[in-house]
Amino acid sequence: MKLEISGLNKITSLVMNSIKKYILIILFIFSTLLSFSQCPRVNFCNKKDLGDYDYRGQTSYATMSPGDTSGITILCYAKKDMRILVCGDKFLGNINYTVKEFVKSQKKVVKEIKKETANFGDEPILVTDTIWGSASFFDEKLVYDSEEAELPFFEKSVKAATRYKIEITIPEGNTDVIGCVSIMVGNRPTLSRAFSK
Amino acid sequence: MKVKKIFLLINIIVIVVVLLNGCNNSVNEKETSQDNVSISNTKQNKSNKNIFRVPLPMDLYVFLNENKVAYKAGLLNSYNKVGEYYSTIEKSINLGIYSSDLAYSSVYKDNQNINKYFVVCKKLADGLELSEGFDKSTLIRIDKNINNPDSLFEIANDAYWNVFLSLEEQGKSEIVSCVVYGAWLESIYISINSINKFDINNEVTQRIMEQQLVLENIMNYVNEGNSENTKTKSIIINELKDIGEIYIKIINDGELASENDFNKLKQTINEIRNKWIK
Repeated sequence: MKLEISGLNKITSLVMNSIKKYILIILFIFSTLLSFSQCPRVNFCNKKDLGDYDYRGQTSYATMSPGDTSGITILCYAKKDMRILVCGDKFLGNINYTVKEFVKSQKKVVKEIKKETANFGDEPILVTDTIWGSASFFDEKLVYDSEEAELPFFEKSVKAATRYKIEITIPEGNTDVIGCVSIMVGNRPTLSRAFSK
Repeated sequence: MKVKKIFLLINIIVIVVVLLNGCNNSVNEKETSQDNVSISNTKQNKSNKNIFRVPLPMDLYVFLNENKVAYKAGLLNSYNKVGEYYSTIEKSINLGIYSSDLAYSSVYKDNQNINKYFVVCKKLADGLELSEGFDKSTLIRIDKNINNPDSLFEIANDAYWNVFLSLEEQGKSEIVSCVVYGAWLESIYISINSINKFDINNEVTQRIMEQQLVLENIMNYVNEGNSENTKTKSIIINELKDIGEIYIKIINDGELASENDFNKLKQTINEIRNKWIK
């Protein structure tokens, strides 16, 4: 009888240990896979909002958590219509995003400051000469803010090749949660707006 | 002995139960993927990622075609050279070059070359152990649509885009950097060698000049995607810098930019591209 009880205890303890071991191994594998994997190519956006744009080329899929921010710099060629939408897992809350346009400007810059000693009469004097030049700069101009916009997407007919930066912010919340976000960047040839006779 | 057998049996039952439970969960997760919070690993810090993207090489070829720039099959990298690339960097950059050639031939409806260039892309992709994009099912789609140029164009676009996404998903940042760089290098090589005269007021010249923005995005993409300073990264960055410096000079000179500057840009691009194709 005693032997049977000790045998049963032995089995129970072996089973419990092995269950613990398996749970730990499975949790380790699962968390490793999740932390290294990217989000699948899932589109979270409303199909109606996507329209007839081609989203191949500059669309991104990212894993994000509450409080995270992300910036995506894209480029749109001239004579193209572009549409940008950002959507994600519902549990991430209202994903906010802005679109900023890089506006090129030429500014005067100091290229060199020359310091030379010149003779003025008998006395040597120090002459300082500033050499000016121009250089290109990019200023960021806000063109869309999802919090204030009426439409759930940013759309524009691009006349000259322009770079845009999409900045995404996930609302604060449980930082242990990781969700997927799809940043949809679509383009299509600009439709002719001329009236035909 | 009996205890050991019972223990082994219980172990097997536990494995089966855990696995079955895992399968059930994944099915449920798929069904309600948008509503449920799935399990996640603990995350301590807020992250701030920067991602850079560039348009598909296909877009540049579509523009050339729309602007009546003639097709020059002689500019394509010979498909007979596919066996001459041995290192990972050579294979990856030439996968980009060949997929760009595939895009060029599909935009200009050179159906004979589409199949050939798809086969060389597949060969290089296989060598790099990439299963998506240039796979057997796409090859079958090409065969079925060989007389349908519009479908071939879409298939070529899909193939490049799927390779790009699958490489990113697998975290193969060095290979994807090489593919993107190779594809862009080929597209700028073909564009710059397709025009006879430099004219800053011409739309095609302007589009070639706009590639400076693409170049900057590629440079940032390579920098952000590869945190370690590898040899491959420094090779790509240095080549992009060489091209970028000439671009900056031409752009800053604007109307005053000379034919000489443009020829220098052309020469640098040709040298770098020809170095890679051998």
